[in-house]
Amino acid sequence: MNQLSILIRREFWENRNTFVLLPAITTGFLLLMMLLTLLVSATSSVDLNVEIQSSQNMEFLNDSMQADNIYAFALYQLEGRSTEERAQYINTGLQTLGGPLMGILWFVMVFYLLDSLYSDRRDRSIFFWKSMPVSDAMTVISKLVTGLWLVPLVYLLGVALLQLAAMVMLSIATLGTEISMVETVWGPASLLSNWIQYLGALLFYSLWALPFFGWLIAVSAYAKSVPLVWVVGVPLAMTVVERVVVDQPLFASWMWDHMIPISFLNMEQSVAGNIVNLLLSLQMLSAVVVGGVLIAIAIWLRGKADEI
Amino acid sequence: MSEIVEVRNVSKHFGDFAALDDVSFNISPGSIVGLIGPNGAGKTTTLKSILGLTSFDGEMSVLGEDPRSGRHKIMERVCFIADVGVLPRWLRVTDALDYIQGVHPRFNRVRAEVMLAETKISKRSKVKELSKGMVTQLHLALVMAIEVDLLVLDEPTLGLDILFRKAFYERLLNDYFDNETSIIISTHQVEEIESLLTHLLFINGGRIVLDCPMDEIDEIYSEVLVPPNKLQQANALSPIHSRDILGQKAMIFENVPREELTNLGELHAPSVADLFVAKMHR
Repeated sequence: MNQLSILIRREFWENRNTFVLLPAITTGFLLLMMLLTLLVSATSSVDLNVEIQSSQNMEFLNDSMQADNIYAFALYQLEGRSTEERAQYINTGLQTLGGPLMGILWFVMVFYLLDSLYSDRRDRSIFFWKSMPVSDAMTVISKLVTGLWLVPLVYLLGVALLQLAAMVMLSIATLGTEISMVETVWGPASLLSNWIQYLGALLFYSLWALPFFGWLIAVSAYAKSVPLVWVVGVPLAMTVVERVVVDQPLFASWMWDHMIPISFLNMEQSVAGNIVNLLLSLQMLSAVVVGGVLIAIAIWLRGKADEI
Repeated sequence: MSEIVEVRNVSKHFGDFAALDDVSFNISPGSIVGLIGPNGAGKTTTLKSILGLTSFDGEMSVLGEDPRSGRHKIMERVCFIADVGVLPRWLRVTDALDYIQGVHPRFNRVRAEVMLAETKISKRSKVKELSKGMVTQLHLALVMAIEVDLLVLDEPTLGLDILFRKAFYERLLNDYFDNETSIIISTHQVEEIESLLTHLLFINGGRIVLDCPMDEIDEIYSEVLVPPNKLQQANALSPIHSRDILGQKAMIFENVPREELTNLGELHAPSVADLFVAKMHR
């Protein structure tokens, strides 16, 4: 356990830019933008509630042209709603706020895992790491724990900060108006359950997409050059072969399902109440088994790894 | 325990090329072994096999473990410095200390810090900011703070200047070696380490061509300065090597009794470098 914690710290030292600086700068930038829209009375800005509402309802868009402050505008729109609608709007708005960070996170996770057992073979530092009494299994596990759980936590912290900031700014906007801060803003928003949902989704996705992540780390341990070509090439070839031989995208669609976070999120939404069933489903089982096998292969390959 | 390392009939092939060809030798506790051979002789492959850093055919036991399966256990008691800096460029000196302290049960951090304090290396520096010599100093300081049974050095001073090389070996002998630790050093610069060694291993073309304790070298090998008039007589004793020195021939003999050699000319023990040349030419 002790060893694992220092191995994880090692990963953060090496990848400080993408693990810490990138989310910090992105969060900071978005915070700044939010603050600017609050200070400068902008009417045509992009931000939380306007976007969602406007796509659903044209009249808001017209109204927004007349409003002189995006926050005030959002507040007036919210106040006119029923309690359920209010909650739905504000929570969807909060989730949209996390979009950019979540998008970046996905790419960071993918490229981190793909590089994790590859770059040290290129620069020969594998000989230093392997001269330490750390087993190959421990090395691979430390990279998975870091990439699948800890890095997402950092990004989620950014999301939480943004959401909190949005709430505070909306509250500030209520000052001096008749709108009630508690009833319109804090009441309908469910920040905490939002965050818990994110954590659940994170854990769920890490298992659901284990074949994808296992594949990434196995290729990282195997490839002698350009791992990205392997990562994309092999599944692509298998898809083509399947199409020619069986003419049914069974494997291809399974693969796609277990890779793209969007497909998982859609599914999760449709069966939100049924997360336990989903956890025990055949789909999930197949994902964990295939992912586990790929991770075992990665550990075995790491044991035989030499410089490249 | 008897031997630290036992190597039995180990081979390694890259396609048709035999990097190691049926290699066998032992390393005893408390010995300083020089693994000496020309470039491409198989020195690095031998050492990497011992460390479990590459695959091979044959049998090997390092501190009772097979390196192919027990690398991480072996590494608790074996340290390794490679020919070129293998410390990752992004690593900070303090982080390196933290890391080894975290993963290595036999690391003495205070000792490493004392040694680092004697150098110009700043603890806040990253490896990429250090000169080549400093990186070696850093690696040596880290490794010498680990109490191990076997230290493996693969051309540790390659590319460093003579002052640094001298200091390196001095430090190694004075601060590190304590008769319980074994060291195996590979190099192709024989002269520099000759005085340290207790055992010689010559390797050429993937084969061990000499495996001999230092103190037996002068019993087995003799060098004679033979004047021209005794050449025929000397050649009859089949020298393993001969070269011209100021009109005379310096001949090296293997397992020829001294009595037979004394009347040929001036007799002495060959230097390791001359012996090396003789062995490599055969």
